Order: sequence, then structure tokens, then C-alpha cells
Amino acid sequence: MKLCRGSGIKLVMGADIRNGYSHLYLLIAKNNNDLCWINTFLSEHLIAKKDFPLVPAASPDVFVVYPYDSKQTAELSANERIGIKPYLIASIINLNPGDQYVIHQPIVVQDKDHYYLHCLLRAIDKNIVLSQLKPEYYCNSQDIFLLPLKLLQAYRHYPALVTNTYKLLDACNIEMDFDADKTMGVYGGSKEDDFVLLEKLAHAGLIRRYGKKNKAASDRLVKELKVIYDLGFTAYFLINHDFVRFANEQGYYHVGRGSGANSIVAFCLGITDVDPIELNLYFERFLNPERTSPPDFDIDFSWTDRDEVMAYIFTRYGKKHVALLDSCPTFKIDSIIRELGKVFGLPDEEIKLFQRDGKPTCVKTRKIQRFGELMCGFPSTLSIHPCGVLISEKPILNYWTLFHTPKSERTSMAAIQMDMFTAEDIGLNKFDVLSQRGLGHIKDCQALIKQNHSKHIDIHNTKVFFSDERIKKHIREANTIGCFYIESPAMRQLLKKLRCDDYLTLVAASSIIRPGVAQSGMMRTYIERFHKRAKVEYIQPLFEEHLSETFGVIVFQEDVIKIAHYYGGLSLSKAEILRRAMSGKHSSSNRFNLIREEFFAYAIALGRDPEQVAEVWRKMVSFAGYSFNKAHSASFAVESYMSLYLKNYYPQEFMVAVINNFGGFYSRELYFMELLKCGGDIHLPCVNNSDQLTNIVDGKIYVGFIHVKGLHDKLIERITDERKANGAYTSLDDFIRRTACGLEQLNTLIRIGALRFTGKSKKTLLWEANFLQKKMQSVAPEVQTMFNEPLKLNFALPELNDDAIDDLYDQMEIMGFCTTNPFVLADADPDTFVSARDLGKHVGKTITMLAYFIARKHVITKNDDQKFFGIFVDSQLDWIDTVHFPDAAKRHPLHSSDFYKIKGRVAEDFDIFSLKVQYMEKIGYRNRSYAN
Amino acid sequence: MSLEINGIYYLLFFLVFFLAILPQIRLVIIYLDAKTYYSFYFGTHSTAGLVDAAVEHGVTTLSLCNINCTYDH
Repeated sequence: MKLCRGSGIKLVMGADIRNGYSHLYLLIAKNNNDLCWINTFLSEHLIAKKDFPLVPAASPDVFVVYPYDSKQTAELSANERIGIKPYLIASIINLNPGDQYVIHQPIVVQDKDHYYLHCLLRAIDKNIVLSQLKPEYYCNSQDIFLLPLKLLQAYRHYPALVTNTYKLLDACNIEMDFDADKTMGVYGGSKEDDFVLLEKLAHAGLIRRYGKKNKAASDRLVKELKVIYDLGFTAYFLINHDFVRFANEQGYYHVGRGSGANSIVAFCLGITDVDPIELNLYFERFLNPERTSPPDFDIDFSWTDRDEVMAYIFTRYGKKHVALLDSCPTFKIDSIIRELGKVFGLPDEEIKLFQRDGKPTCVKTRKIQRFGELMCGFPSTLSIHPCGVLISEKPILNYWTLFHTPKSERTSMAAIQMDMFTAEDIGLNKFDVLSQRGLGHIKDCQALIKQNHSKHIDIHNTKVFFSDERIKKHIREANTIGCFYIESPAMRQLLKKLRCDDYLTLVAASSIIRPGVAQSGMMRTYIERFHKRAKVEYIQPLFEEHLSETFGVIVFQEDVIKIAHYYGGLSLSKAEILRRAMSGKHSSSNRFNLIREEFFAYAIALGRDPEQVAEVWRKMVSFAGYSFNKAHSASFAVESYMSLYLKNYYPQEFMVAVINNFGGFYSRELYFMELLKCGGDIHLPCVNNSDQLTNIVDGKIYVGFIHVKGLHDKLIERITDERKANGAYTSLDDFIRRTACGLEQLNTLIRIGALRFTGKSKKTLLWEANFLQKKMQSVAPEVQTMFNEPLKLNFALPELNDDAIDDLYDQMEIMGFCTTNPFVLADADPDTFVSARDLGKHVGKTITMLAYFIARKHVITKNDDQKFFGIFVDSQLDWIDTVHFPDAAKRHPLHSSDFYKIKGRVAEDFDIFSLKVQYMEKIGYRNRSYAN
Repeated sequence: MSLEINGIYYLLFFLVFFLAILPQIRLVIIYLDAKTYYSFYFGTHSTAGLVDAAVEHGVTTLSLCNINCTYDH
């Protein structure tokens, strides 16, 4: 609509109603009420997944245009018309052109090429090859913009149709005020009432957070409240506070972040846990009088609680006013090749080859290349935005249509056919309700601590954590596996290089690790300056004034705003627009280019050196796309400290919680290794002790059944429910009777050792299980329960012993990891290699290590070569970081999990050691004994 | 004499018509059923492309009718 307005075109809104490929009619809205009616009509049918009726239910004003021959004019009501296509009109004889006929010239494609592309799209949609496409599936090749004279010529014998069409569209008028905020603007009775409530809540929070006599905090609160009221964001704050309050009442944890975390009001309301005064957070990043959009609140909940919070929002504000946002992924090269390849009937191998090489080798691949270019950027499907929800003042159907995806259907929360950019364009501000696993770790860990130690941990008492010496030591040593946001190899290296042991450095590290700073080379500069190894040279005194906290390095989004404003002379609102425009989506937009020109013009007018201006601009641009604002980094750091505290004082409970929440940077195997390192007494799954998830029973950690491949959820439920109801299983026979476990699943349980309580070897149990199962099958299920006496084996087995190595292989096969140190399986003696702890003694020397592969990062160099960064552990489960430069990567590719003998030179960087790989070979696993 | 004056008037009228008025006259071009690629797997116009093409074809009124939605970006 904005585009049409800008181009002097009147836009009328409607919808083409179809069941499958069968066109039923067009609905065209005369006014905004009609648009709402059309949206309601569409939503009802889309959500209920029912066919559209052949005649829409009566609507007072909406125009309905049927195809020719589908209705007689006598049957039509006042708002119904019949559309006649130009290529049909010549074949119609004796048309009596009353008021009810209109021109129906669909615009579907641009030209011949796009018509062919349209046919390809139809084939993709129908999941058929092109030759199977039936005429009814695709449009007419004439469904294009016709030259005006050609259009008029087609209807020259029926000028009334032209007039009728003109009249129809002239009667339509949709209004949209793009500048008006359409988000729910009143929380309680009125805006004034809302402000009174916000003030009351904020002042109560002020006393709770800062005590009664903190003038700086009080002054800032008053200033912020005024700006919030003046800009009309009172309800926005109250709504965010409302669902956070609901979550707190339910015992759900949350973390508030985003630019909203710069606000003292948000801190006092409990939306965030970041103290803006302590961190000297930049008020103007949060709100400034020139800003028209509200600050972003990204509110994280545990992935187990988030849907409940969403459900509350839908109930509290009403389904008529609430909808999830959609996101609309587009076709990229790989998906285009895959889809068009299928339409052209290419075999899978050829599709993959073309995806890999991108070189057309036949007519079909040349067509894929040609039409694929046209298809790039086409929307592929409608899905749901991961966290955005809209709460509108007017019913949401005033704007667009609602729909369901399978997920939204399960939760009965409808999504609107509108993405976040469109919502923002029309004045609907989204609320971000996110789900993350880090909070799940914290919540589950606390429950385990309560269960095992009868203690309640006040996890929000973070200021105590900041000064905890034990935590400081662990951050310095980067003992952070499982901890929120600081467990990745890159982050652990950064923490070590910075010798980070305090909150503020962790806040900076959380932003420095982002790709923008790292790739612009400023991460290294920051580390050097942090250690004062390099003298800090500020480009301008202004940089010292505004960026001294980060040693002149642009680390946070606020820094971009400060530089754009104080150095470049842009207004705060333009600086904020620039900051937003620097994100990937807008960095090539006209608006961005205009601001760039202004930045250069203003800065040079202020007497800055043009070369210096260009350099400052380069630094800002290279950084800003992926950056965090300081409050956001601080919120992350708070959560990191929560998990650091739990990991340090309750490592086993913490690692079990990490394992049970899944996700995380590393594999389950590594988290179990870490649990082992933390002194965990890990036991294999056991039918008398394990639950679905990993648990702790009397200090022993039992691996959860969920890790046993192929075990059905229903059987797991039966095993645990029956045990809890009627006590522990007493024998194999007892277990089979009480759980009705099938032979295949029983074999799996035996092989993983889940029936070891019987005291029998696995091989013996497998024989017996086979026999008992057959006996059971010969007795009807209803009769089985009547037999309480155990079935007797009528044979004697020889002594069948298990083998420790075979057991480990079983664990690897069934769970994908073993519960002991994996080096037991390595076909080499670890003691003959250099250990990770001794790397410092070998700097600059070439050594050989025995290492177990954990993860790798793959990088393409400027010369298009492959380079790897490898993560391994040695036999003491200490980390080994490797660098595989292109030559080594080519000679010794790093692909899969295994034991490797690695030869390389030890390098040191800020006391971090790594191995620059020269040679590498797989050592492999010890042979199975298959002992009897 | 009057013929000459009338001739000048006619000339002036045609000059004004062709140079000033005619370029202002736009045919009223209207389309009832335009689709973009948000008619998924059907339309091939992008939203901006559709508007550009409409401008190019002198369209004055455009009715956007995507399939089973009022959606467009």
C-alpha cells in the first residue's frame, strides 16, 4: 500500500478464493470493515482447514466477482458481479451487458519466461514433474499486464464492462494510517490510569532495588517515566510487566534483555535484572524523544514454560487482539536446485552434484540455472516467527488473515499472515517472548539441589556471585562447559585470553565474541588494549571521552550511536536509524545510503579528516550487523553467572540438568564426559532406578532411558509407572510380566545393562529372555496376569561371561556414547603421548598427541581453501585446540568422531596453547573380543 | 482578416492542447485481480515489481487479490 501510494496508484484490497486449484470467486473490499470481514472469512476457513463455500455467506458490502458461466445474472445480488476475461469475450455470443459484468484480467506473470517459471512453481506445489502438469493447474499465458489499448480493444463491443469495472473499483477505498501506533495502547481503564499504575509499580521497585535514599536512581526513574509517558509507551511497559509477573507467580524463570534492559523502569518493574546505573547504560539507546518505536524487550523463558506464558497472553488480552507473527522464508540456491531438479525429473545424485558444483551440464540443469535465477528470493512457505507476538488495540483481523501451522494448531494460538517488518511498517509493535534452554538448566538444577540437598538457592542474588572467588577462578580457567553463552570453544578461549574474572569484563566479552567485532579484527585489538600491551591510541579525543570503557574499541551498539552522534554529527534518531539499518536486511537500502552520505557530509563539515571519516565508517559498518547492546550483553552475563554458580557449587546436579535439557553447543557425549570430570558416579540405565530423563538417586547418577536408541516412549512410561506403583522388579520374568515388553526392546534393555540387577550376565539374560518371551506368547495376555508363579526354564545354560570392551561397544552402539572415559577404547597407549596439560612446556616445538575428536569449525579462506579449527580432548579429558591450515586440511581431512594421532607445532597466544597440525591419522578403536 | 485571426486561435489552441493538456491526460487503467508471489507457487511478481510494472503500464487502480489471503509485504 505504501508503494502504491508513493507511485500514485490507488490500491484496492481483496482475495482470490480457491479450493485447491479451483478458482471460486474474488472478494473485493469496499472499505476497512469489508477487509476485516474478508480476513475473518478467510481465517475461519484456514484455521478450521475446511473448504470455502461456493457462495460466500452474505456480507453487506464486499464485492464478489464470480467467473463467467458459474452463475446466472438473475441469481446475483447487488454486490455480486461476473468477471469476463479478455480472451473469452470474443467467444461469447449474445452477451447482454448489464451492470453485473466486469473485466477480469488477472495479473499473474510478467512475460513468457515468468509464465514458464509459473508452470515450474505449479509443478513444485503439486510435487509432480513438469510433464504431469494438467492445464487446470496453471494460469493462462495471457494473465499479464496488457497494453491499455489492447485491453480496451478486447472489450470494444462491450464498453459497459469497462464502465462497470471502473465503478466497482471507484467504490472501494481502504484507509491505512501508517504513522499511528496500533499496538494495544491502554492496559487498564485509560492512559492516565495506566501511568498512575506504572509510577506506583516503578517506585515500589525503586525502593526494592535501591533502597529509599538513592537520588541518582530516583532522578533517572522520574526522567524515564516522563519520556515513556510522552512517547505513549506506558501500556507497552505494563503489558511486558504483566506477563513477567504471571511467570513469576507460576515459578517460571525469565531473563529480560534487549535495548529495554537499558531502562531503570524495566529494572524496577522486574522485567530485567540489569542495573543500568551500575553498568552506566546509555539511556538514549533505550529511549530518546526522537524515537518513534518502543524499546525492544526480549524476554526469555525456559523452553518448558514459554508456551504457558504465550497461552496466558492469548487469554489475558483476548484471541481477537493477539496473534503470533509469521516469518516467510525465501528460496535460496540450494532449495531452488532441489525443487527444480525434482520438477525436471533429475536423479538425486545429479541434483546433489549440481548443488555442489553449480555447473550446468545438460539442458535441464541449464534451465534450472536460468529459471532458478528468476526464482531466487521467492517466498517458499509461511511459518511462525520464533518469538514475536502482536497485541493490537483494534481486533487483529482488521489488518490481515490468521492461520495455523501444525505447531500453532497444537497450542491453539493462531498466527497472523504478517511478518515483523510489515507489522513495524504499519505501526504494530511486537512483543518478544522467547524460549531458551539455559533457563531450563537453571530451573532443573535447582529442583535437583532441593531434592538431593534440601536447599533452596536464590538464583537472583547475582551480586553475591560476582564477588565469589571460586567462580572467579573457574571463569579465568574457562571451566564453563554447560554454562549459558560462555561454553563455546571461541568463548572459552576469549575468557582465557582476557583472564576474565569479573562481571564487567564478561559483559564486554559477550559482545566481543560476536562475529562483527571478531571479523573486523577489533577483538584482538581489544584484548591487547585490555592487557595494556599496546598503548591505547584514540583516533580522536572524542573517542577517549565516549569509548574509554572499551579502550576505544566499538564493542556495543551504543558505541555506534555515540560515534554517529558525537563524531558524525547525526541526530540521535538518525544515529539509531543508522544502527538499525546496519543490520543485514537494510544495509543496502536507500535509507541507509542516505544516512551514510549525511554521516560523511556532517563529519567533514565538522572538520574531520575525510580519510579518517572513511575509516571510522568502515569500523562501524563491519561491526554493527551482529552486535549486542550493552544491556543485552549484561543480561546474558547475569544468566552466565547464575549457571556458573550452580556449576561450581553443585556440578553434578548442574550437568544432569544440562543433559536433561538437551541443546547446547556440544554433543551429549561431551556433557557426560564433563559430568565424569565433575566426579559424577554415572550408572547405565537400570529398570529399577532410571527414569525417562537422567536422574540422581542416593548420589548415583542413572542415565535416562531417553538415551537408549529404539526404546519406545510408551514402554519407558510403563516401566517407570509400574515400578512406582508396585515396587522394584524382582526378576527378568517379573519384568516381562509387568511391562509386557516385546523381545526386540527387551534385548536392547539387556544389552545396555538395564537388567543387571538380576546378577546375571547379559548373554545369559538374552538367552532367557528369548525363551520366556516365547513362553509368554503361547499364553493369552489376559491369562498372563493370573500366573504369579515364575515360568521355569527347562534347560541349563553354560556359564556365559560378559566382556568389558564388548559392553563399551554396546554402549556406543545403543546410546552413542559410553559412560566411562572413552580412551579405554583407543587402540593406543595414551601415556606415550604429550598431554594437554604439558603443552606449555613445548611452545614452538613439534609434538605428537593422542586426541579424541569433539567438534570442528569449518572456514573457507580468501583463496577458497578449506581450513579447520578442531576441538579434541586427551585421555585426561583436557582440551586440545587444533588449527588445520589448508595444506594440512587437504592432506588430513577432519571428518568424524574417532581417536587421532596428531603431530603439530605448539603455538601460544595470550597464554592459550594450540596445535598447528602437520600430520594426522586415525588410531581407531580396540578390537572387540567377542569373549564367551 | 478574421480568417487569419481565427487561424492563429486554432493554431494556439492546438499548440496548448498538444504541449500542455494532452500529456496530462491519462487513460483510466484498472485491474481487478493482481497477484504477487505471495500467492505462493502461483504469482511471479514481487510486490515492488508489480507496482513498478503497474506504473509502467499507466495503471491508475490496482486490486490486489492474492490466493486465499490478503497477505503481502
